[in-house]
Amino acid sequence: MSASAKLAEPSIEAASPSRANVQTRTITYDDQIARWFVFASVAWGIVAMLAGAFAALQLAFFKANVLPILSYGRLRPLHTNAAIFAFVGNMMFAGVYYSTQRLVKATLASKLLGRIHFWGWQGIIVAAAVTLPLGITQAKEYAELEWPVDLAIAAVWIVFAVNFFWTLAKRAEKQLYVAIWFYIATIVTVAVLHVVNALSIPVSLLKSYSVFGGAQDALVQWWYGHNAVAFFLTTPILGIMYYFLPKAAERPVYSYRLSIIHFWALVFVYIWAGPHHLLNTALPDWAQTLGMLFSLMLWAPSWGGMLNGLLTLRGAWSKVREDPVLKFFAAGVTFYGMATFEGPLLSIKSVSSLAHYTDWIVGHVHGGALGWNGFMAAGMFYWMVPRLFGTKLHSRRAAEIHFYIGTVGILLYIIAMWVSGITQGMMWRAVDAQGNLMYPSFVETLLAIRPMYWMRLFGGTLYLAGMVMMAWNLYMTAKSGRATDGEAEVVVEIESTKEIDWKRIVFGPPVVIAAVCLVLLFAIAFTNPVGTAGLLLLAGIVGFTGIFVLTLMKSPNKPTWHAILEGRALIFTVLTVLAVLVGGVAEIVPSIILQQTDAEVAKKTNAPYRALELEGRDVYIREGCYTCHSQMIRPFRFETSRYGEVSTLDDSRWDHPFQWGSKRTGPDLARLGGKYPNAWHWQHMLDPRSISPGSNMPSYAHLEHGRVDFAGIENKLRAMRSLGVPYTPDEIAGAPADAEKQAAEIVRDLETQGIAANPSSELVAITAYLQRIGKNPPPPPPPAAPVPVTMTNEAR
Amino acid sequence: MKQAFLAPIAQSPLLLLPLSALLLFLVVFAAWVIRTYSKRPEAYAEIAALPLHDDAGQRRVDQRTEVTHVD
Repeated sequence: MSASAKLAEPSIEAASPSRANVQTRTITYDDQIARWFVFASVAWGIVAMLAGAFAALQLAFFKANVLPILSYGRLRPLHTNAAIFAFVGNMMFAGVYYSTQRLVKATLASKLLGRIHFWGWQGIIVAAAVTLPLGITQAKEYAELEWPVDLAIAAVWIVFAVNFFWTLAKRAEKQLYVAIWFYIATIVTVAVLHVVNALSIPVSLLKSYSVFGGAQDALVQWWYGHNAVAFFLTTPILGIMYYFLPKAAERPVYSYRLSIIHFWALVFVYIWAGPHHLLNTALPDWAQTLGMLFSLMLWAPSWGGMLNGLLTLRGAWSKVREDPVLKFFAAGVTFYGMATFEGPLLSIKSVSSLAHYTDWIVGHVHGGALGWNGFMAAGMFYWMVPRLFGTKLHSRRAAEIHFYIGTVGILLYIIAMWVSGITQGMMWRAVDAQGNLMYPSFVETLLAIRPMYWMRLFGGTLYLAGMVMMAWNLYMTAKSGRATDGEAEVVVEIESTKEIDWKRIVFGPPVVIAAVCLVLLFAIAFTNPVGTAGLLLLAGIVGFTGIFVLTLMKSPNKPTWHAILEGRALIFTVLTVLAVLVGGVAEIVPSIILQQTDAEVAKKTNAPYRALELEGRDVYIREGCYTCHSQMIRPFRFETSRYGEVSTLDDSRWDHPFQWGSKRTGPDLARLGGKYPNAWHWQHMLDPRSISPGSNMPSYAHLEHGRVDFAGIENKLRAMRSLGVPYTPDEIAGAPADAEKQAAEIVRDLETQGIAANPSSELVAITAYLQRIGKNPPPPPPPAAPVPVTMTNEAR
Repeated sequence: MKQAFLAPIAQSPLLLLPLSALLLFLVVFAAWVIRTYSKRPEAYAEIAALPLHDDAGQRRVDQRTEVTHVD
């Protein structure tokens, strides 16, 4: 399938006698890169969904946890990373490369950079596929990959960005179409998110600790996690929608004006909404309220974009009936509408109190991932591949069947998760007339939803079958044709005309009005509630009046400010970065620079982990325990009755990374320390069902034979100290001895219960950690009073 | 209905601030939509049709009032 890509010899000629400074060129697009990314996406998509189906099986049937390297805690990050970065990532790159060249009328700036991007990205995916099952992880959702892979991601992303912006610089079409705006927003924002969230201190080649800890880490992580959804799974796919949907429907986008509103409102508002993942937690209330508010605001731009996509099909619904491509696009955009309706709904604090940690969230995510991303990918592939190979789709009927079984699969999946999530949420909070929990055993709530886990598995498997069918269909299509690169005649000016001064764009009325409003809103941070109300009112008056005046001043014969901006790629990019950074800075910076409790004071309320506990925590992280257990007790009676005292900021102050979790397939562990004897933990890890009948937790018997390297503990404490954890030099130097001492104490205790354990066993270390979570060790005894020196004790 | 709205505010007067912020957003957003829609759609017709003409540059350019530029 080698492409016969070559740039056609420029046929320079005057476009018309009256335009001597104009010439036409025939260019050939580099479509080979798009072909590679399409097939990589399809192949990795099947792997990702296979991993997802297997993980779903493990939740329904614990015996499917056959190997430690493929146990649920390790497989789930592999599934999410593969789905996001391998499936959607490759699909996004295919769409971006294909559409950008055509929209800007330029061939890809550098073939070499394109190839480095492709192979670099596949190398990163392979690295993820190897390291995650081995338990090499940073334990931050969707950002689990360790620091060397993080560096590789940053490098490959820069290669992609350079090639993209270089192509824009070479463009023959001055105006940037809306799809390009979304691509620009994606490239710059993902770079910022990745770099900030991945900041960590390496301990070894394959181990690092996040520079952020506790609540700060939680905020940064979910600022990243939420915006990975926003700027990796949404904005590039919106760009793809704005290009491929009009192409497939053979009509322009419903409203270009709406797309302007859609873009700016979305990129500005989206970045603020991250804290809605942390509602009712120990996160400061201002950050939670901000996250909830901006999530509600997201309804407006998200639905604006969704309606713009769907209404592009007005007058073309007869085509939708006949064309599988349009079917996928129409359903994909509809699922986008559903997911973006549900997201803000789930961000309302009271709704979140029910839904958070349950399968409802899983259903919400999969409505977006399978419905929006998966169906937009399928529509794009069915449209692109015949054109990339100069042939027709091998089987329209197979594509139709794919659509129907995919749709049924998604519906079964999300309905199962809705039922499961709401059932479990209601059972967790159910109390009797005396205020006692009606379902005090967590396993009861798990058994109630198990049928839904089987239904989810069935739905997911149907979807996977559709993906396999698509892979076969696309392969047969490619086989029946020949790699073909698109060509186009473009007209360019030899001498560029005088541009409008950049200051007139950057300091144009829309930017000035927005800046004044933002300054007024930021001033809220330094005032009292009355001042806040006044500033809000003033910002509203400025914004509303400014827009009103601009509307009155409009001139029908002049190009709009935005039309001028669309012709200036660099300025457009800078303004996009500013729009995105405002939200990031407003949320992240205060939480990082604001004075926390003094470290020494915090140390008294929550001492740092002892060496063995830290080792045990690393085992906990490696096994992916956070994928099923939270460590965050919310301020609700039903939570405190079940788990204990409400979690505080100090509880996780020294946690690098934080382990608050996002899902409770098992109970919360924030106050687990001291709740059960060591022998209980030992037995529970070996055979969970012997302690908790009905549990679906995998056995962690392999930890009994895993060994902790006591000699390496010092490095870990030293790294933690460099992050601000108050270990003293003496504690660091004595870490190996202290770890051995604590291990020996646990082993002695186990022996009294008839259990023979090796002190360096990982199971001993994780027991030490589990016994410590949420339980501050007793303060050291006060120093003994000075003993008077006498002749007698001097002699001793 | 009125009670359902007023009761939480009476309990926590600060709730008025985020609600005001939400209202402010909606007002400004609505004004922005009106402003954008005050432009005639024809002003954007050409750029909106870009994806439909990307393999027919010559024909499309001839129909335009202005030629494209190189930065």
